[in-house]
Amino acid sequence: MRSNRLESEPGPSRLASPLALEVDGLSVDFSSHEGNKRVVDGVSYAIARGQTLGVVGESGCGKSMTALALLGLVPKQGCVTGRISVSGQGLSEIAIDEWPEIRGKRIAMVFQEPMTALNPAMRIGDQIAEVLHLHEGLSWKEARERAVEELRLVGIPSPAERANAYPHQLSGGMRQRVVIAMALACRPDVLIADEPTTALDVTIQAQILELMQRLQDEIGMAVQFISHNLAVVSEIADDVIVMYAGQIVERASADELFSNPLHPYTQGLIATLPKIENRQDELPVIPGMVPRLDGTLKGCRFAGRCVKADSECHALIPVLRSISPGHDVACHKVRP
Amino acid sequence: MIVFLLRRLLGMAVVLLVMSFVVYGLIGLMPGDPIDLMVLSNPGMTAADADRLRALHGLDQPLIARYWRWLIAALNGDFGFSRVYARPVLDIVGPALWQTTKLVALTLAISSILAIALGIRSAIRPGGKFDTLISFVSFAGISIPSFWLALILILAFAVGLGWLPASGMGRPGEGGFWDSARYLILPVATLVIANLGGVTRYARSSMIETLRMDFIRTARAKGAREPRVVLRHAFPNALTSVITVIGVNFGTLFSGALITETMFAQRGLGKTIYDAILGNDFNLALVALLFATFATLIGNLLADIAYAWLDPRISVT
Amino acid sequence: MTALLSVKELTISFPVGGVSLLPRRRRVIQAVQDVSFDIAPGETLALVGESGCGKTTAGRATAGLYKAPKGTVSFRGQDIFNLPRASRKPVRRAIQMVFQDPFSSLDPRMTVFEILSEPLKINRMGSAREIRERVQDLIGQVGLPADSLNRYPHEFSGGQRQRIAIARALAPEPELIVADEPLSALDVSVQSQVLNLLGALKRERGLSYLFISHDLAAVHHIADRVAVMYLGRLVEIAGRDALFANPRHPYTQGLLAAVPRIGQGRRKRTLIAGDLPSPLAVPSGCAFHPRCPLAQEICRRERPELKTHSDVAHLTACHFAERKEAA
Repeated sequence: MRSNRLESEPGPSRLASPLALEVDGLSVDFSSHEGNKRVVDGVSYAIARGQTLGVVGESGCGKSMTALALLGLVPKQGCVTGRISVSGQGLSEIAIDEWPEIRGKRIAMVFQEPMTALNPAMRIGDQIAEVLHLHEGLSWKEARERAVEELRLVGIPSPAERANAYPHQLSGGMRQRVVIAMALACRPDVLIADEPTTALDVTIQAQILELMQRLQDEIGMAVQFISHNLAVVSEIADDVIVMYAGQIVERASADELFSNPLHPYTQGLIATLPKIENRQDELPVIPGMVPRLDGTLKGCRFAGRCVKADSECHALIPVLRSISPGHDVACHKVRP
Repeated sequence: MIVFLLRRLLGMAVVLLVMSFVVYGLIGLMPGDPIDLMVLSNPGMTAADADRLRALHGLDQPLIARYWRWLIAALNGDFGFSRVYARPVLDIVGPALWQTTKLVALTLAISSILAIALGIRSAIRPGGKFDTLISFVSFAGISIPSFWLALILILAFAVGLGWLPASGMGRPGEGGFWDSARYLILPVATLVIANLGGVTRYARSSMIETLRMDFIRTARAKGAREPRVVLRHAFPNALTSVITVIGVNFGTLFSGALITETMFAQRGLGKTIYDAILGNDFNLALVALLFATFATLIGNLLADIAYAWLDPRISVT
Repeated sequence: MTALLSVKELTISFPVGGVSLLPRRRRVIQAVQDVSFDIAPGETLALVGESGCGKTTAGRATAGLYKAPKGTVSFRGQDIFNLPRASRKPVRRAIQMVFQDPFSSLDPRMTVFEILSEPLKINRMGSAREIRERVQDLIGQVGLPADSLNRYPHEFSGGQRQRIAIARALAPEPELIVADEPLSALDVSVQSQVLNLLGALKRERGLSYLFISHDLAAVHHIADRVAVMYLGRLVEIAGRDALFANPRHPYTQGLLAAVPRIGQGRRKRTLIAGDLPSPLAVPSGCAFHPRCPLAQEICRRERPELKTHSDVAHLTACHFAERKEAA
């Protein structure tokens, strides 16, 4: 049922280009002696080639776990259900030992902390060469030569010498470029970037965002850009989904979402940000905290913090439905 | 690198010098001196004889003066005579050192390789069956007193099965390599079992910690398969901290294999030091202790070099 | 304007050995160089800049956490590094700190009551009963539930812990709070709560803040004046509105342009090229010249003084601060 809706998703670019990534009803459960915790709950979305989907939410909303599920890297205790396809190939059916062939080749990932994401005891050229050696069948020598080219592509000065450097000899921004080079070396269909600029300084963040946009234009991969920073997402994403407590609560194009947010949580998130162009003495706040996901929760997961919530919200789970073309919201109080 | 080595060697010389003074002083403070022993064993000696002998051997002079005389002689290669063996000290310490080196080198090589292999295997699935078994065996190894272990091994392999000699070192020059190797098997086995548990625990926790790091997740996200993730990415990074422990063990084993050496009648360094101190054999105890210190320092130096070689973030220049 | 806190020509350097097995020839990082600023009673000064620019070091020195650096820090006219014994405690008490990480800055083995009452006990501020009452007041003021007192820090969320840290800083009734990146470890929706709390405390108690942050939007929200640091030196200091509306230093301009904003869409960014140079090898002349779009020969040779130009309250360290057009 959900996949039907995905295919009927409007937007000219959507129809024209094939979908690089389709996620349908993805859920991740963790069960422990304290009971079942559903940290990702029935998440569905799609990204077309050359497009960027921004995923926004606070810590614990399930955005990073969604990313790990796409790579088959959810910790062993977790149970993943739902359908994932990359350029039409379903990944849900594949065996565990086929996953390494997908990772780094079809779907690649850039992580938050460039300081710790690289192997400290391995030259950066070798770390990039490893991906090419694993997936492209290149000899180590050929792979090392290609690695230098990849370093050049991400704008690292004198790449041939830098290939012999160890990660600790590079700045944070340079390391993140190396991580990006590593992720894109095999020209994957989908790049998942999990808070890729959060650990960086603003001027370096701007450089990395610029780099990611340029590479996307050149390579044409689909990008899933995960961030808690709404402003960064508004600058880089074509479409945005907002996640709260494991669920998608709102989805729209970036322009639409930031100019006309409909879900009370999205509205709250945007309102709480201090804005340089419009200073207020008192910032609006979202009261309360993210609820515990222990399965006892009924109704809308945001109801406890929502000013508009009534008895309906506490009793019934709102479904994500289209409010206007291309704008879906999961809220009882928002009607077409 | 050369500058680093020179500096370290210079530092070691200073440490040895200080150690020699401390040890000399400590032995000098021990109650009784060799002349007292002679008096005890020879009732015919008078107090005047004793004083004459003390003056002859320089024992009536203050500690500093005696130490200074010893040091000058030692720097000229003369470490003095062993009172008990009545031979130059180096003649006694040399073979003991060689014996202990064989014992320690074999023990370290076998226990390190085993410990690292077992540690890695345990770390892959912490809390799994293999890990639980190895944890149990490790703790057993740590807890079992080595004299008891030595006795059990002797009972089983020497007395019971008769495969191996119970003690001794073989006669030099007779029986060849295999014969002397047979004498080493049980002492090495004892030391390996005693040592293995600790290093395995260490290798395991270091490996578990490394496997949790971000770059391991990166390696998996690249499409590296588990064996590659574990051996190529995690192992070199986990090894650095294990090396430190092995380096420390190197030093401890050199002087600390006393019980094992005694149980198997191996005339090693630990046994030599022990006997020399009990027998009031000044010169021998002093030199043997200094060699043990030297071995400890060398162990640490080797560990540091290995460390710098494994971890590019650490430089030795 | 009589300053509450006055920092004059503060210079702090650290010896660095790097990770090495040998004590090598000591190299020295100039973390803070020749930094001067004042904070008036009730004023919030923000210290902004990128990692490694020295803002944290400068802030900690202001709170007296380093011993006798070069330069002076005076609080109500008293040099805090050379205090007579009698006035040490009152001055220390009057300057308190809030740290970045609410997870590691609170002792996990102390209850909230112990954490909050400790500074009161140290400063002998009242009997056991009075202390209990004050602590109860404090948690009310920072918006923590009344039953928090006997709980331990790990039972609280990040935002609540930062409230505890703020309450601890408030306990000895300080006049100045040095807040070092107090928001950066918090979730977006919690950041605004903490910003509001800091703002309310300022209004109600006339507190002054030295607010150290890399988040320019938060700085714009809370600060009265803003000082921008680059590689250990102040490059610009001005009133908030003047600085944000009319930044004079090319670094400040680049920094402001790099801040992502909602509603701009995918845009062509004006980028400051290159990386921050290592603090071990600060470029000659103006430290910013290798990255500066306006750099000329003079910038490489001569270090520009931090001085006023047309506006007396707006100081800029740039040879071209007077140019007509902003780059």
